[in-house]
Amino acid sequence: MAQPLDKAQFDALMARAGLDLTEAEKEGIRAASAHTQAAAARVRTPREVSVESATIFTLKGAGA
Amino acid sequence: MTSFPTIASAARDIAAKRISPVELMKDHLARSEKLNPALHAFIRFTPEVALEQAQAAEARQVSGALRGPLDGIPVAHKDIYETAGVTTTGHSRVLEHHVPKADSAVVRRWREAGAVMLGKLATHEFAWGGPSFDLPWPPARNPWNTECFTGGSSSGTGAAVAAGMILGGTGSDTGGSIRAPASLCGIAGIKPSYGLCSRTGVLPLSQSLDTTGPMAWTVEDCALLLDAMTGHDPADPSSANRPRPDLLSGLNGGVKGLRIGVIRHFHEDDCKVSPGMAAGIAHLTSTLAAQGAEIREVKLPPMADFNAAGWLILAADAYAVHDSWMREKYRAYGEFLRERLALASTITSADYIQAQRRRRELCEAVAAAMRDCDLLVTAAQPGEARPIHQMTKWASFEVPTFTMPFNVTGQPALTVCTGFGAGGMPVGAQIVGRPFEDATVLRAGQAYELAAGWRAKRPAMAA
Repeated sequence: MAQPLDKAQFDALMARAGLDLTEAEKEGIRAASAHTQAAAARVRTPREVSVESATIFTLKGAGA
Repeated sequence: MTSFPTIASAARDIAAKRISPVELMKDHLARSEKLNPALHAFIRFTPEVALEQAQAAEARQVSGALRGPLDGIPVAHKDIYETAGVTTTGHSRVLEHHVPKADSAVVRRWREAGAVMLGKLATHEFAWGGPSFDLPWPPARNPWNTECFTGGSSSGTGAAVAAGMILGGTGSDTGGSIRAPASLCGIAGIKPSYGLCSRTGVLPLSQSLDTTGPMAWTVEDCALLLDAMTGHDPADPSSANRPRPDLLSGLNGGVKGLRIGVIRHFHEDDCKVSPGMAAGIAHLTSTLAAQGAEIREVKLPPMADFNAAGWLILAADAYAVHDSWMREKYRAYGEFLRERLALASTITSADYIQAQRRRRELCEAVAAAMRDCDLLVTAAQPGEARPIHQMTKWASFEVPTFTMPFNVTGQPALTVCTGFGAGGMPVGAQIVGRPFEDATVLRAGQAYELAAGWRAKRPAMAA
């Protein structure tokens, strides 16, 4: 299992998001960040830099 | 003994003038009002709308101008579907007084097909935050055992269909929100191909994963409901500009010659399922094999890979949807959703794009596996419904779900009831097709359902 975000990182992210949490809430969510950190590691499989994202779209011209 | 019509049987009776749409509506509204204090499936009844729509259906019945199989059929909508003049809250205090001016596209299509709306159904808050006990309405309960979870997020639809309160209803599916409650409540539910049905007017969770779809007691009823949902909608950027599929003419065509791949490692290694769920999958595949399908084993990337990509995308998309409300009214959300969204705010842009790159790779891997098979089969849930109070805030992240892989790939996936497991609770498995081959999925589900015979049993509280 991945490590959760450290407290300084986490506090900065909550401040950036504009969320005013209690210390107990912060600690609960910070502990759960181990799950998103694990997911973030898992999606980083070895791949060429040219690999495309699923969000790439096809431009539609006039009349399409 | 209560009788439970299906949409198909009620449509035949309405067409033959054996039953009155007004009486059918009144029976189902009365049943719903009687059961709702125990089930909390509805958060709002709309008796005036129901009466007006049922009377209009009855007038068409009398004049021989019925619009099709949904005319006069009692339905209800998950409370993320906007309904003109009827409060639509997302089961949230944030939108507690939100009254839309227009119907969502799917509500409009069902209304135009003659369906009769009995009310609005419980959901997890904005289709992600539940089951929660700190919202303006309590969470829906499972009619097979009211101490148990319905699955979510289309929790009210699952409970209402299983209890016979409605004949069908809308769900939405971003990570499994149609197929999970269909499994735990013992009904049928299909997440159609991404882009097959319009999402216009549906409160979003994750636009790159959100799918609208129907839930009903039988696969045939899902096909009838889905048939009235499809069609290109220029107002929805995800809507596929394709001809409407023929979902009905081949429904009873059987499975002879279909190649069906069982993703055995999903339920035996990646997330071991309960004995009841395993028995259900075995029953599904042996029944289809007995009807001439060719069963084979298929290997896909680990289920955790699909879940990692899917949940990062879902969470980041959802945070973008709720960003401004989170800053302005954080405490108006229930604890489950606000803390999940707070966690989502920690996902970086690089995490998100890497997840979208992984998504493309996973789509290609599944497409390659399906070159040699027409359908896939896997579990819909790890097992039977658990006690509702055991459901945890971080469950989505703790245990990989069997449903998320097909939100990631956008493929059509149907949950069909495959029997009953521990405690007499229902179990359901998924039948998954290639993109836009929803008709093949429904055909296989119909073949299984008719042979299996599980549709004769209803929850005791509904009988």
